[in-house]
Amino acid sequence: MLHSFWRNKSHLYKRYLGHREEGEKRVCEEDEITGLIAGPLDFLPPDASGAFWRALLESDVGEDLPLPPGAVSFLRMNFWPKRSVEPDLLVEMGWPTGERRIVVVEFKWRAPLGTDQLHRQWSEYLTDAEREVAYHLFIGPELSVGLNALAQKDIWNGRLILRSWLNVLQILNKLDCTTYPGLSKWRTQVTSFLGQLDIKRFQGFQQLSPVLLPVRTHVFWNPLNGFDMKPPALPVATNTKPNHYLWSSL
Amino acid sequence: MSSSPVSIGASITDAVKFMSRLAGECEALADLVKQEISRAVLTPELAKHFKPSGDWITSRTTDEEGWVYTGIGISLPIASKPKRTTGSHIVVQISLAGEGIEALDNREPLVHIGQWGWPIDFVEIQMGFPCDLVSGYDLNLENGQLFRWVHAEYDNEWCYSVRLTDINCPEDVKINIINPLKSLLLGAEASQALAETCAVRYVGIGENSGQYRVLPRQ
Repeated sequence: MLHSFWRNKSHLYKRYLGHREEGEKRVCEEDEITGLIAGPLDFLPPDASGAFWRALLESDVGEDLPLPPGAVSFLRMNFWPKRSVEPDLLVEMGWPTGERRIVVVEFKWRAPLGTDQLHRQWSEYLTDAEREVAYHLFIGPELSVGLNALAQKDIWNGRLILRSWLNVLQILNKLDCTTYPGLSKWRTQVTSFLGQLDIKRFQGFQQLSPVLLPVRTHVFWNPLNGFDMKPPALPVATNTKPNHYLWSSL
Repeated sequence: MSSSPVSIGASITDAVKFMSRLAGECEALADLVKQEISRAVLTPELAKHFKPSGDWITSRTTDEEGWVYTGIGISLPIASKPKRTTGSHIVVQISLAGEGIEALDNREPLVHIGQWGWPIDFVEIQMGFPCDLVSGYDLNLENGQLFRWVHAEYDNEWCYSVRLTDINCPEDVKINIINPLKSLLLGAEASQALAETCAVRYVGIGENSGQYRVLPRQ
């Protein structure tokens, strides 16, 4: 579907802006967006997909980087993995050194976060051993939702990473895809898709071309002031031959 | 100079297309500012004193005809530790036209950044000129740049402005909005907090008129 949206062959993305077909009651917007954006990463080599997850987790982190250095050698993505609670995605990554990391991912689009949803994913989904090597990644429209969860009760000890969709777009823009052609194509199409969902990078105002407008009291409609005023003069039809008028745009 | 039907028609369409592109940049700027302020509140220096107490509140206002958006206001409720309930709001108002920009000698869009007791709603609460002067507080202008409402019973409120077209990239947002916001939330003086910015310089007109003149860019 990313290809269809990118080439304007489908307008189904409008569902994620609230559009509904007649009779359509429920659209799983978040699940579909999860599949659209994260799904293709499942088909890329682990080092390519790993490059994206590293960029997403380590953006703006100074010290104590979450992931070990070096290219990811093993990567498994499990969508909507069921245990007592169900996050959107579980990403397991491994390195030749034997080190591993687990990332529990929760995507949010327009639906609100459930009460304690993030807390339960962290404390109930993961085992104690998994939590030792895990990070919790929340991607949503704004950071305030995740901030509220932290403010409510911080059980993550620095392991909760918050990203807005705009953040994701900025990270994609800076992502080095030179060694990964598949990742580069995916990045282009996801950037386009996010743009269709009105998630766009701020590019500033100086790059907007100004519009020159004539200075007049009325733009084009000169209202009549009373019934004793003559109506505006209409142009005289010089070509009496046709019975219809052709609109000519210059 | 009279305009032919074709040229005015083209101007109309061009103007609408321009407004669409402008709107896109304003929304992208608002989203970027929300994101960066949310992240700033997480930094140790601010997290020691404040925490968000709710979600971002977004309001928009239109021209008199109701056709064109002329302003957007975003407000983040925050609590001052150790309290847990909302004590104030970080507010950012983008004003393209209307009272949000009607200081004397100003004809361009402004962005107002502040800490207020209430969120922007463009009904009762917004930054505009002339400023309402209601008894119960003093309105001071510090360093010609920072409005400060001094209340007897409530915490002070403050607000400064930058010209919208001086904000053109994330770095401009950091220098002119995020960094000064952090400093002012931590109690810095206006002269220090706004030193590196292109904050608008105002001068008061008359005694207690609530109206201010914008000084030219330096």
